[in-house]
Amino acid sequence: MSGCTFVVFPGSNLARAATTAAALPGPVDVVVVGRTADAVRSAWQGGGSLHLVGDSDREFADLPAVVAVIRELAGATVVLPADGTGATAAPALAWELGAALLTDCVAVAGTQDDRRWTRRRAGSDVLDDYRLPAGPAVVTVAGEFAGAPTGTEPNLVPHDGTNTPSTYDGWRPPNPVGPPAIADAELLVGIGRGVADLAAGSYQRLAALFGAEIAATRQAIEWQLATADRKLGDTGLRVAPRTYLTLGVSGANQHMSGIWGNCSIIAVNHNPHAAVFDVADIGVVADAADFLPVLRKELEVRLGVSTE
Amino acid sequence: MTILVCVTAGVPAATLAARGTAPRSGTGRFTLPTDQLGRHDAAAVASAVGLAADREDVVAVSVGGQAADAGLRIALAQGCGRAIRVDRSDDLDGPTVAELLAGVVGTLPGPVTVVTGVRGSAWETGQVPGLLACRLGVVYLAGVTGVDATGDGLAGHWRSAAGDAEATAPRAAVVSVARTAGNRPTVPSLHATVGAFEPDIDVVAPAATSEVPVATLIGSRVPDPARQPVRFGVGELDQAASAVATRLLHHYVGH
Ligand SMILES: Cc1cc2nc3c(=O)[nH]c(=O)nc-3n(C[C@H](O)[C@H](O)[C@H](O)COP(=O)(O)OP(=O)(O)OC[C@H]3O[C@@H](n4cnc5c(N)ncnc54)[C@H](O)[C@@H]3O)c2cc1C
Ligand SMILES: Nc1ncnc2c1ncn2[C@@H]1O[C@H](COP(=O)(O)O)[C@@H](O)[C@H]1O
Repeated sequence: MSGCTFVVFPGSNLARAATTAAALPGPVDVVVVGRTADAVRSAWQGGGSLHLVGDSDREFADLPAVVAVIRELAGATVVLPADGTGATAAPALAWELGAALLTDCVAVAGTQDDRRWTRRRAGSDVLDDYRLPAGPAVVTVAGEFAGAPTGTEPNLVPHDGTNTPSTYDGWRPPNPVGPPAIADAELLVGIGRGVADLAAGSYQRLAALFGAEIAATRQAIEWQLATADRKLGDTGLRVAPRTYLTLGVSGANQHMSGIWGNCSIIAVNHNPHAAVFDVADIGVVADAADFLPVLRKELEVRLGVSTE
Repeated sequence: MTILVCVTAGVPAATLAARGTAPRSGTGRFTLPTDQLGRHDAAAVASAVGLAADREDVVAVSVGGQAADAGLRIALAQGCGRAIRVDRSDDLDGPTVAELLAGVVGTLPGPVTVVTGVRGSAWETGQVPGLLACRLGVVYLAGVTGVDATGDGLAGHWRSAAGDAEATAPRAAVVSVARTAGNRPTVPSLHATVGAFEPDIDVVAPAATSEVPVATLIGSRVPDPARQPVRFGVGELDQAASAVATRLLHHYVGH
C-alpha cells in the first residue's frame, strides 16, 4: 500500500482538482464521481488513471460505490479537496473505511516511509506536522497543493454507480447552488471603495494578466464598481482561493469572513492602520494608483507579455 | 421528538500552550470568553431554538470539562430548555466527540434532530457533525444558513449571493449551521441571562469510547519564511511589486 487515492465529488471543481492531484505524493489514482467521460476529458489536463464512478449528480448518492473502488485501489491515503464538498464527504469516507481523518492540510513532505502532513492551526500562524497512522487515512487538502498537470490524456476507467439507496443519498454539502466563477477561482483580486478613483479598467487589466477573477466589498458594490454577485463576506460568498490580492479594501470582518481555507492574502492600502494588514501575508502601504502600474510592469516582464 | 444542539467546549490550557495561543480572558484556563459562544455554535443555537415548538424540546450539549458550562449557560439564555455536559476534559479528537455525542442522542426521546456549528471554536476541523451523522446513520445537511420544521421533516436552506437552495431531510438528521449575516442570533435579555444561571446542568459521565485511529502530532513550527507577514512602504514599490508578483505567479508552470 503506497501512494494516494484522490477523490473528486460532483461539487468540486475538476480543473482545479487536476492541479491538486499533480501536487500529491505519487503514485496517485484519481476517482471522479458523478461525471460523464466527456465532461472529464474537457476539464482534466492531468493524465494518469481516472476512475469514473456513477453518473448521478446527487452529491453523495454514489458514496458506497466510491468506497468499493477505493478499497480496490488500495492506496494508503485517501485525499479530497478541502472545499465544501470534500469537507462533507471526508468524514463519511473515514467512517466507512475505518480510517483516520486529518482535515485542511496545506502541505506534505518526506518520503513514503516517513511522510509528514502539515495543517495550519486554527486562529494562529503555527504549522503542525502530523504523521498518519499505519492503517488507512483520509486527508483533505487546500492551500499550496498545486502542481502542474502533465497535459496528457487521462486513461478513463469506468465503474458502476450505486443502485441501492444509502443514507448518504440525502447528504448535502454547503452552497450546492451553481456558483458564479469567483467561487472556484484560484486567484482573486478583491476591490474595495479605495479603487473608486483609479483609471478605468486598470485593475481589470491587472487581474486578466494572471487569470484572476474580481471580487468586491459591499462598499465597492454600493459605489457600482462591481456587481452584487461578486460580493464576499457575511452577506456574500464564502470562497477559498489560493491567493487573494486586495486593493483599497479596509479589511472589515464582514468582508474577510468570505475568505476561508488557507489562502495567502496580499493587501494594498494607503492607510498603514487598515485592519486588512492584520491578516495580510504581504502588505503594501501605498496608493493603489501608484502601485498598480509598477506591479503590472513587473508581471508583464515575468510573463513576457504586454497589455499596452 | 428532541432537538439537540451541540456547543463546543473551551480548550484546555495545555492544548492552548501547545497551540501557541494565549487565553483571552476568564480564569486564564480556557479560550472561550465566558460571554461568547463560537460564531457558528451561536447560529446553531439560534436555529435549534427556532425549530422547536416548545423550548423544553431543545437540549444543549457539550463534551468537555467544567469550563464548558459557560457555553451551555449561554445556550440556556438563548432559549434552550435544558443542558447536558458530558464530563471529559482531556484533549478530544473529532471521532471521540462524535461518539460521545451519539451516546447522548441515544438517551433522548426520538426522533432527534442534531444541530451543530459547521466548525467548532476549538480545533476547527469541521469533522464532528459528519462523523456524528455517520454514527447515527442519518442524513447530514452541511453548512446550512437556516433550517425549518416542515410537516414531519426538516428543510435546510442555503442562502448566498450565488443563489438560494433548499434540501429536505427527515427529523432524525444532523444539520450543521454556518453563521451568516442572515442568521445572527439575538442578544438574550438580561432576564433570560440571569435566568440561565438557575437550571442545573446535567453532568453525565462519558461512556467508554472505542479506539479510533488518529493522526499523531509530531511537531510544530512557525510557517516557512515566505508566509511570514511582510510589509512594504511607499518608498519600496519595486521590491513590493517583485514580492507580490512572485506570490501571484507561484502557481504558474515554469515559475
Ligand atoms: C450587517 C453587515 C453586513 C455586512 N456584510 C458585508 C459583506 O458581506 N461583504 C462586505 O464586503 N462588506 C460587508 N459589510 C460592510 C463592511 O462592514 C465594510 O463596511 C465594507 O467591507 C468596507 O468596504 P471597503 O473596504 O471597500 O470600504 P472602506 O471601509 O471605505 O475602505 C476603503 C479602504 O480603501 C483605502 N483606500 C482609499 N483610497 C485608496 C487608494 N487610493 N489606494 C489604496 N487604498 C485606498 C482606505 O484606506 C480604506 O481602508 C457589512 C456590514 C454590516 C453592518
Ligand atoms: N466538545 C464538543 N462538545 C459538543 N459539541 C461539539 C464539540 N466539539 C465540536 N462540537 C460541535 O461540532 C461542531 C463542529 O466542530 P469541529 O468539528 O470541532 O470543527 C461545533 O460547531 C459544535 O457544534
